[in-house]
Amino acid sequence: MKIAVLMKQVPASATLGVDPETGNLIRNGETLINPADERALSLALSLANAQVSVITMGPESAKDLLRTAAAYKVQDLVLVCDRAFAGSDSFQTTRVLKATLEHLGGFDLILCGNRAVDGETGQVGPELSAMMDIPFCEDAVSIALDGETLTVKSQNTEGEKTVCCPLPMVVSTNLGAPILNPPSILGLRRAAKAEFRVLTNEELQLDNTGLNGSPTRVARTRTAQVVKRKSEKVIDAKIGAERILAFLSEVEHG
Amino acid sequence: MAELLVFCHFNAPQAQDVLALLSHARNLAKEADLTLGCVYMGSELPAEAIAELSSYGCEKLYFLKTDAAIYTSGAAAKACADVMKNLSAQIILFSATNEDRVFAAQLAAHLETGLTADCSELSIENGLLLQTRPAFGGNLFASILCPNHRPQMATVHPYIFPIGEKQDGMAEVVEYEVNVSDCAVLLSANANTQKSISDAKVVLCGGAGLDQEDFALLAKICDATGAHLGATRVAVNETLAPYRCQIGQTGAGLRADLYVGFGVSGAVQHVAGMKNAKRIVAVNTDKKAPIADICDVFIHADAKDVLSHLAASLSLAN
Repeated sequence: MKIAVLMKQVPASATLGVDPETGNLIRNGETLINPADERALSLALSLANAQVSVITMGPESAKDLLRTAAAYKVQDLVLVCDRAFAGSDSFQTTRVLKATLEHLGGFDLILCGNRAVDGETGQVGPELSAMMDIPFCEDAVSIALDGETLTVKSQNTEGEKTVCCPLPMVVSTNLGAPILNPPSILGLRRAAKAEFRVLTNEELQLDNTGLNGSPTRVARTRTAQVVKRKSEKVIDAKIGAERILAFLSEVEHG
Repeated sequence: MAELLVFCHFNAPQAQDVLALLSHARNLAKEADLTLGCVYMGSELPAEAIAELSSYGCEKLYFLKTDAAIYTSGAAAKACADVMKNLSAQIILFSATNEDRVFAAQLAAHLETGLTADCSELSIENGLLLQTRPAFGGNLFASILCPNHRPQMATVHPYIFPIGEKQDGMAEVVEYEVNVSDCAVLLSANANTQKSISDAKVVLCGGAGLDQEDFALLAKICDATGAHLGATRVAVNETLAPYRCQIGQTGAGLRADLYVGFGVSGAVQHVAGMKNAKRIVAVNTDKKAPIADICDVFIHADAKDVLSHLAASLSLAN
C-alpha cells in the first residue's frame, strides 16, 4: 500500500510569541516539523505493509525535515523546491503538491496534518482532495485498512464520526492522533546516510506559479496588541483561593 | 445581479453564528453594492428558517436540496460548485466550523479561487473584500485580498460579529435538486454535547507551571464548580490536558465571565484567546509574567498552594 505523507517545516516563531518590547514576532531562525504532520506520519506508520513516501514542499532547509523523517520506516524522501513556487498561497501550494503526487504516482492514501502552526489555514488537505477528485476525511485520530477500504475515526471539538471510504483518498489528522514515537538508534544511523529526491518545476512543468499565480495575497500585517488592565495584588495563597471562590459564586448568582 | 452569499450550515439552516455573520454581511453588501443572499444545502428547509434568514437581510435563498449524509467527503462540495458556477457571486462567506472550513476549501478549489480562513475582521476596501485573520498562533494578523479571482471566499471565526437588528422582508427561495453521489459511507456520528470552551462562563486554566497532579486537581475543582477546564498550548502539547481545553488557538475567543490562570505566564497568543473574559485572575509565582499586565487580580503565590486551598474549601480529596 503506497502512502504519501505531506509534511511542512514551520518557523519556531510560530510558537514563540511576540516580544513585548518590540512588538515583533520572536524569531530565532529555528524550525520545527509541523506537529500535526508528525501525527500524520505516525498514522501512516501504524498501517501494516505501508510503503511510505514523505513529501515536503519548501526551501532547501526543508531537507532537515526529511532527515528527521528518514529515521523512520520511510521508503522515499522528496523535497519539492523551486524559486518559482515562492509566495504560494494555499491554492498554489495545493497545485504543486498535486503535480508532485501525480508525478511520483500510484498513491493509495495521502495523509497530512489538518493545519500548519504558521499559516493555520487548514486548506491544503481538502483542496487537494477536490483537485484530485478523490474523497476526503478530516481530523483523523485513527485509521484502519480493510482491503481497499479505509475506516477513519474522526474527532474534533465539534464531535466525532466514523467514515468508511474506498481508496484512494486524502486524510488529514489533528493533534488528537497518536504522537510520533522517538526514532530508534538504528533509525538515526539510517537517517544520517539517507538520500533525498529533489523535484523542481523542471519535472512538474507548472505555469503561473508562486506569488503571481496565487489568488490571495497579503496586503499588510500587524502583530497582536495586548490591552492592559490595572490589577489588584494578592500575596497570600489562602486569601487568593478565597477571592477565587467569591468570584465563582458571583458568576453563579450574577 | 452581483451577489454576496452567506452559507448556512449543512442540514442546519437556523444557527446563531450564521445569523451573526449574516448581520455583518448585510453591512458589507451595502458598502460593496451587492445583493445579499444565502446558500443552504440540506434535506429540509422549514419556513421559520426562511423567515429568520430574511429578517437579517437575506434577499435570495438558494436551497440545494440533497439527501447527502456527509458534507465534507468532497461529493457535496463538487455538486455545490456546479450550481455556484452558474451564479455570479462576488463574495462567499462561511462561519468557520470545522465542517464548513473543509467544505469551503473544497468549493474554492473547484471554483479555482482564493480562500482566507478564520477571519476575525472583514471590510470593503476599494471595492475589494479585505480579509483579516490571525496567523502564527495568534501572534500576527494578516490582511488579505483576492484581487483577480471570483468569488472572493472567506471563512469567518464564529461569533466574532454581533447579531444585528431584524428587518422586514422575505427572501425569494430558489430550489435546486442536487444529487450527491458519495462513495464515502458514514458509519456513525456524534455531535459533541460537551459545552465548547468558547461558550463557558467560567474557565479555570492550567499552564506550564503545573504538573500532572496539579492538572488532575484542577480538573476536580472544575467538576465541583461547573467551570470549564482550560489549558495553554504548552500544557496540551505535553498531554497534561486534552486538545479541546486549549485556549489561544486561532482566534478561539473566550467570552467567559471569569478566567483564572494557574501557572500561566500569559504568552501573547494565549492572551489573544482569553483577553475578552470579563474578569481575569492570575496565579503565578513570577510577578513579572506578562499575564500580570492584563489581569484584574494577580495572586502572587504558588498555584499548588492555591489549588490546595480551593480543594479544601470545596471538600475535595487532594
